[in-house]
Amino acid sequence: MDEERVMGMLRITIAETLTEQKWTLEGRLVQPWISELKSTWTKTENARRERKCVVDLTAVTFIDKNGEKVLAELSRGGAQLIATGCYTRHVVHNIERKKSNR
Amino acid sequence: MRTEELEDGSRLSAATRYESLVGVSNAIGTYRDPKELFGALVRELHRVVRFDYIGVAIRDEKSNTFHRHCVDAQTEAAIPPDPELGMEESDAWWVYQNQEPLVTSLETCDARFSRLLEVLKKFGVHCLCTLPLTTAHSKVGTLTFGSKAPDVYPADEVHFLSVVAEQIALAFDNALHFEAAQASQRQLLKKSERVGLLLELTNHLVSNLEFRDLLRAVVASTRRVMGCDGAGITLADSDNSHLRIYALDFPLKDESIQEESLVSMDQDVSGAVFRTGKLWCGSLVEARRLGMKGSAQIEVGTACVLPLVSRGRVLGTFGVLKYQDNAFSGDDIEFLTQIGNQVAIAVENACAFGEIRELKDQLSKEKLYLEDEIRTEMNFAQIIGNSTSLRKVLKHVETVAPTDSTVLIYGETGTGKELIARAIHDLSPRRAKPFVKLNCAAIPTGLLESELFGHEKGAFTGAIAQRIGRFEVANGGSIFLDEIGEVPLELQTKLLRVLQEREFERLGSSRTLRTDARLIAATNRDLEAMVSEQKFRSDLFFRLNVFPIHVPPLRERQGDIPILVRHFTEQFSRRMKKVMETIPSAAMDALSRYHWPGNIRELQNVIERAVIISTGPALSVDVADLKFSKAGLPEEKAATLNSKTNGALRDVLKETERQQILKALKQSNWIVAGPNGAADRLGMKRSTLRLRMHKLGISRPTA
Repeated sequence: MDEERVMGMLRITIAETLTEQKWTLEGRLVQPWISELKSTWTKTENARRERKCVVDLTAVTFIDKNGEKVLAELSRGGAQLIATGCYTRHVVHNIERKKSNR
Repeated sequence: MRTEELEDGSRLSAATRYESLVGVSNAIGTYRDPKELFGALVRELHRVVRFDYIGVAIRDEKSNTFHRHCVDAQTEAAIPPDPELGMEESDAWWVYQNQEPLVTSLETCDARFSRLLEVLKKFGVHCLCTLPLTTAHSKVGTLTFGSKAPDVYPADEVHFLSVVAEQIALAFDNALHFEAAQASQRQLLKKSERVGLLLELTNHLVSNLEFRDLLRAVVASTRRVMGCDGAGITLADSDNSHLRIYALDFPLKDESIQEESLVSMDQDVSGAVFRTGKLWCGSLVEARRLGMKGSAQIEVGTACVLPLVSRGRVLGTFGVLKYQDNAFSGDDIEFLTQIGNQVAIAVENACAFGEIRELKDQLSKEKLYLEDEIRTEMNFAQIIGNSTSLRKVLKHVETVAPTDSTVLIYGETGTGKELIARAIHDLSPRRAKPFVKLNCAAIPTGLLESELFGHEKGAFTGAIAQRIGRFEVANGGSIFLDEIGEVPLELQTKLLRVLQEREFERLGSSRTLRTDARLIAATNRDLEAMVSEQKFRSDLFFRLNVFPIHVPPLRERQGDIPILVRHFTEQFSRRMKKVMETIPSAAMDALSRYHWPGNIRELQNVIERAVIISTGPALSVDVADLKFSKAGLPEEKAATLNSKTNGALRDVLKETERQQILKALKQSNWIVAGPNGAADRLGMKRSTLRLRMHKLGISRPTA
């Protein structure tokens, strides 16, 4: 049960428009939800083609190292990461910095 | 060789006839079906025997009868047996009993066969030769040749016909045995399939299938093996008021039934079977008359519904249907009963397992919260203070605690709303059950519903497992929702339903759950104003506002500050293994006069810091920090806070004076006298400044 409390939960909501696919993540970006996020990202690849993709991290409360990696993958895959909190802004800033250094 | 050639027997030598007979034997020996064999006899025997009619009577020992087949050799038209001809009056019976050939003609017919004589006359038969069909192992029946010509079957011909009959007896014996073997094989296959089904069911039962998947697998396997058109399982609701269709495999069903449909206990076959605990098997028309749904467009069919009974308790029903009349034999029903027994055991085990799992989850959750309680016990064991306003609050707590009423606690941040909520729970009859808390502002709004009510696996992307909500955990205890004003409008309706109906559904589930959790809510916002701004539902507000308790801010209970300071000093010094013997009166004075916008939480933190920085036995409070905090307050808030207290203007003046003196002291590097000293900067005498500093509790901070 402690484990469950630490794990918390993550909710992934995908909203589609003609020009954009908006992902809203809420909760903790840790395992096993990282795998869930990756798998959902892969499954929706076709639907995303030629459309802008925005990943809203406003309601994310925690991101672990693997979570950061998967966000970096999303960013490399063309997703625009949106963060408002100090913590998530810092994570996104790091991801974007590393991306531009490549 | 044609029949006409046999008109004159002399045209065929005995050798040729026996040679032909071998050919006939070979031809008829290949037939495995008795009916086909008889057809072949009619066509082939003309090559060796002269006849106008041919018949066989196959003995059925079980029914003590003969199965008779007779045809006109020319037209191959079947001649039905005479119903009035008794078995013992027949030539077949006599020949079968005596195992001897019998030749009968119109002229020589025995009186015993008077009825047979009439039959012969009716068909114009002049001469009849009946021979036993017997092999070395069994008496098969009889073979009869009839001819319209007289004296066709003399003794030597009868001898030849006996040889023919022996061949035919072998062929019939083979065919009958083949048929029996096939029937046995079919029976064996059926039994094997059924044993296979039982094994399959056992495999399903011992595998880790989810309960509903298990029942789905059971009905699908049963339908397949039994060749049914539909199968389903219903289970009783917890209060036995309805049956719920739990698993259904019924491809041609209409829209009126599907999984999760409710079945009335009073108006359906399943309901009747559940109530009586007795099996029902009958036509679909009758089943529909009794209220069975699902196959309105089908006219013909049979339904069979069995009770699922385990340890004398009926748990539900198991039903199958076929679109044919009288579709279920006694064997079928016995087999279905066996399946039903297996399913009943599985259902009972699953129910017991589910109950254990729920209790385990509940206990684990309770344990978690109780551990939290233990961890935080040191912080809330007692509510410290003796002020009139606090005593008034505690009086309210005592009054409302024993009831089950919802309580709404108002108070600024850090005033101890949670302590009050815990006190209400501890003084209530629910104290043995969990106290579950949730800060609604600390959870992303999208997850709040899941957190409160739980969710089922797959309810949304990311719901990878079932989760039990706080309301479920708090069943029987209390749930404390802090920052209730932060609950989004769309969730407020659900919250209202829980408060009023005590019912809710997990996200992604249609199953309604009940909870007996007492709600204690808290907020530091003005809910009434939020209602008028349409940010908070008025119905929820009125439902929450049954018994409001206002926890006073610390500035309104200044008398409690010294008690709290001493309490926290003792607490932190014990924790940090320090000995704090005194609290300087200047420090206590400064702490007492401070407004404490962060209330007790802020006081606690200030004392913790003071204990950390204290090097001696006296508590060293960093008064500058207090001023810094105060200066950091938004102006309007500070103004609001001040306006609410007595002597607010005097306090503001004092504070302003304190800030100016501190500013001057800092600029002069804490030098009071001299040309660049603080007194000079402030335009006052050194002694006056020292007096003011003493009054305002200003002292040089330790390095």
